[in-house]
Amino acid sequence: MQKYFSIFSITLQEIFAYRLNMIMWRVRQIFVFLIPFFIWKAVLGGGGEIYGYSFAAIMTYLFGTTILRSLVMGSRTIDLGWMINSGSLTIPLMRPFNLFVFFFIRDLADKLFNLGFMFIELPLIYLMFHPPIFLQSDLIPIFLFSISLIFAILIYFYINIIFGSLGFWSRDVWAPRFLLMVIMEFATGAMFPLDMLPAVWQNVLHATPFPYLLYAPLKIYLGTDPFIYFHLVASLGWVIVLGLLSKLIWQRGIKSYEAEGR
Amino acid sequence: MLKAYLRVWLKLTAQQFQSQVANARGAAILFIFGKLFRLASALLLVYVVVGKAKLIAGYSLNEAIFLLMLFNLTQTISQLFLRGVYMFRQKVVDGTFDFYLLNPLSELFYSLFSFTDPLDIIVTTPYLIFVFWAWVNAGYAITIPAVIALLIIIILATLMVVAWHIVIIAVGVKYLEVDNTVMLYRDLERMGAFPVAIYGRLGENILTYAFPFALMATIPARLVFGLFNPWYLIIFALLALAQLRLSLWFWHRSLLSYSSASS
Repeated sequence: MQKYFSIFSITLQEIFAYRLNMIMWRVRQIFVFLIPFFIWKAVLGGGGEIYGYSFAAIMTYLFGTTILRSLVMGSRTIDLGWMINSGSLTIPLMRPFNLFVFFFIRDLADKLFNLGFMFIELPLIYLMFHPPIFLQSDLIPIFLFSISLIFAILIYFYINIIFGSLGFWSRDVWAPRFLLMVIMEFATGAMFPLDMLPAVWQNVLHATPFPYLLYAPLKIYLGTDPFIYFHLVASLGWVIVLGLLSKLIWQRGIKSYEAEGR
Repeated sequence: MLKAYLRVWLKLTAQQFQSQVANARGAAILFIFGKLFRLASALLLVYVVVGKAKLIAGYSLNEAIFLLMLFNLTQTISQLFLRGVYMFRQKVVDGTFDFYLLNPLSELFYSLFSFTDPLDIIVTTPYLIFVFWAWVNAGYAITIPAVIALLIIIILATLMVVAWHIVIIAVGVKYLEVDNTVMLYRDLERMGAFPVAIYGRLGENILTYAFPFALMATIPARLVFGLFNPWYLIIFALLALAQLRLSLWFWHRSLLSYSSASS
């Protein structure tokens, strides 16, 4: 247990080593909120509704995705592809710990860092934009949201392992990751709530793991998801499928690892 | 002198292309698909928002689409030659920047223009077609003076973008931080994909005069719609030159603090 605590602590020290880098990263998290805020203000600021969303409702949603994004998508596992290609994966491979646990602990450190800074950023966002804040008081949605958040974190972790593992076979891990980032920006519901899309599009997207990263957990928290239990089961299904797939890919990939560059 | 720079740039770009072909043939398709998907999802956002609301800051759906397409083209062209910024931090950290300083050509040239991605040049063609499609779709005539004015605006925007990239790598020399600064710049840049009037008076002024983001879409679109006097471009030309001079001054200041600690 002590060794995993050390990994956690070292990862946090790494993050704090380059302070300007860290500050810029956090400033970006505030600016991510800017564009959607102004777009929706231009459209709904004067009142009215679009797709059943008032300005207050859409701001609550976007404020929620900003918070969730930091928690779910804060990750150090995105370095995996680079670690394989540069040969630096060799060092953790030689150490006496489970590699998946190693990466997951690093992810948790990143999430704790994000969570810590959110206590500074959220009041700032609130002071600048005055978004309506919805505090869920019903314990059942809070409990179900917590489960869905854990599933979201695991789904994102396994997706990163799978995409990072491409480095075992390809020198270029940037192009697939770029494609993944672009798809996730849309398919997680980070740009706008997915229920603004036609039903067919929603069904197609719900057959992928992406809506379970941001959209589904947030709708569960807000208590506006009519298919809560179905979406929770689907999330669990994706955790199992992606977990097995990532282990399979990793086991195949590690056999072809040549520690190039070391 | 210019010939020497061109020859070196062509050589560096050819090497970059060879590296891509040797290392990641399939990646090119993924990269192009990713770029097109990103444009499609931005288009979808405009459809979802403006399609339902009918107007955004006084612009119709088709006008908003034209704006988005213009932004996409200008953004791609202005960044086309500036890919070196993404590699710059690594070059400072591993000491390669010392070799840039020793070269007979400008260290700034190597720092900014070394990694031009040939794929960016390829995707510019469909982006240009999209602009002309959206232009016609918005109901405005394509005229030679308007096209020339757009070209001038793109050149001015590119000069301002270069100035900002020089500032970003100058910060990198001083503080070893480039990646998140450039991504923060990109986050702000995306604000230019929509009419800058939606950001309020202060936001509009900042995006117009401090950054080149209004020049990327709102101003050229307003020019096409007959809402912008082209003579005002003289002010933007002066502004672009002033920004470039300032950024070069800042760059030289930052070089004075470079200690070559990595090599």
